[in-house]
Amino acid sequence: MRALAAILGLLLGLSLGLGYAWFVSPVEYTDTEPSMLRAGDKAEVLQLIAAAYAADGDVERARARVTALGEGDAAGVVTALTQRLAASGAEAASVQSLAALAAALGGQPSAVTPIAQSASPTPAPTDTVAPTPLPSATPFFTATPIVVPGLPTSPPITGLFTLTNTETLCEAGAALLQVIAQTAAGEGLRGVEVIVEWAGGQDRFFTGLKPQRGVGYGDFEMQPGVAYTVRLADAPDASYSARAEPCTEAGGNVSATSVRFTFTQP
Amino acid sequence: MRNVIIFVFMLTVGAGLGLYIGWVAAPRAAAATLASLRPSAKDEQVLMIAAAYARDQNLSLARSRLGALGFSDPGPAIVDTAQRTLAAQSAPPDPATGSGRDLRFLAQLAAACNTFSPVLQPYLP
Repeated sequence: MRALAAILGLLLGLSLGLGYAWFVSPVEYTDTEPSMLRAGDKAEVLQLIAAAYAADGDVERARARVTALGEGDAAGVVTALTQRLAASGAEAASVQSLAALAAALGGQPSAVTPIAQSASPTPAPTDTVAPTPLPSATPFFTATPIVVPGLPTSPPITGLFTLTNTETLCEAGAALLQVIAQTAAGEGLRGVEVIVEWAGGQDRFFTGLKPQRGVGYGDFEMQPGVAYTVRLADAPDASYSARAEPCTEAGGNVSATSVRFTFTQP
Repeated sequence: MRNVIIFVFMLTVGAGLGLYIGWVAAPRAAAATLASLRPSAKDEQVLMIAAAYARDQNLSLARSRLGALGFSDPGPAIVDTAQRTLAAQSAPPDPATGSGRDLRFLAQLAAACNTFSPVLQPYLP
């Protein structure tokens, strides 16, 4: 009986002590490292880093700040947040700042200038991917002018976009809906928001998040046989259709077609 | 009666053991907040807030961000950050680049918060 009282008392006391220490009055940290922040606070800080980068254009400083959050893959974490915010319909200026930072962190820091400081867009890096067009590839969309109203925080992405080229490609790997936004001189424009819709769904992406394929490049993975509609976010009246169809790529493997739209400013 | 005494004694021992485990041996992994950052990290946050304000001129957003850092009165915090930034320089910084640009951003934000300091005066337009 005494042993039972002792065990019961010990267990009850232990529970009370632990409950108080863990839930009622947990340890409060002071002088903490940024890497210990909550995920939500880290996202806030990432947006702040992107906003500061847009103001000072110092990509190495921005990279150091992202790294201080304990994120090894700086470009990856910024890209992921950009896409998440874009999908949730967050403020365009914030998403564009993040997109610019993601592009800058992607491997060509010296070639990328923040949108806010650039009156003219930065030339696109050389596109290292050379997809093989289908021999019978024929543009199946008529070039239609798309008016993109000037975005207050993105001077380069203004004016008139025209769909200047459409290609059907047969590449190894996933079928991609590719968009290239460029100036008349062929310089890539990052931060152009593209909306993709299909029966029962919608997604959006930005150009410039895969700088290894060009500053003005963005893509979306299509499912074979599904009909998609693509449009620029600020030109809801001009939309184009795309669909991934089976094809045989140069290596003889069966794949699905990718579709590439090129939008050009005059 | 003895059982009650034993129960209370063990309850006390258990509670003490629980507190030791919960506070010292295995504290609950609560994430840090922006307000709990070390001072140098807070300075970095203030610099970024000032840079962002210089670009978007959104004072309420800047105040909100400074509030999240625990600065209910942001003016002194901005001046303190400026003083530490200046103290870290071996020569007067160029207002167009690096730390000088940071100080220019801080001066603009401080002025927007109705805080004026001799430290920041040279960096105001």
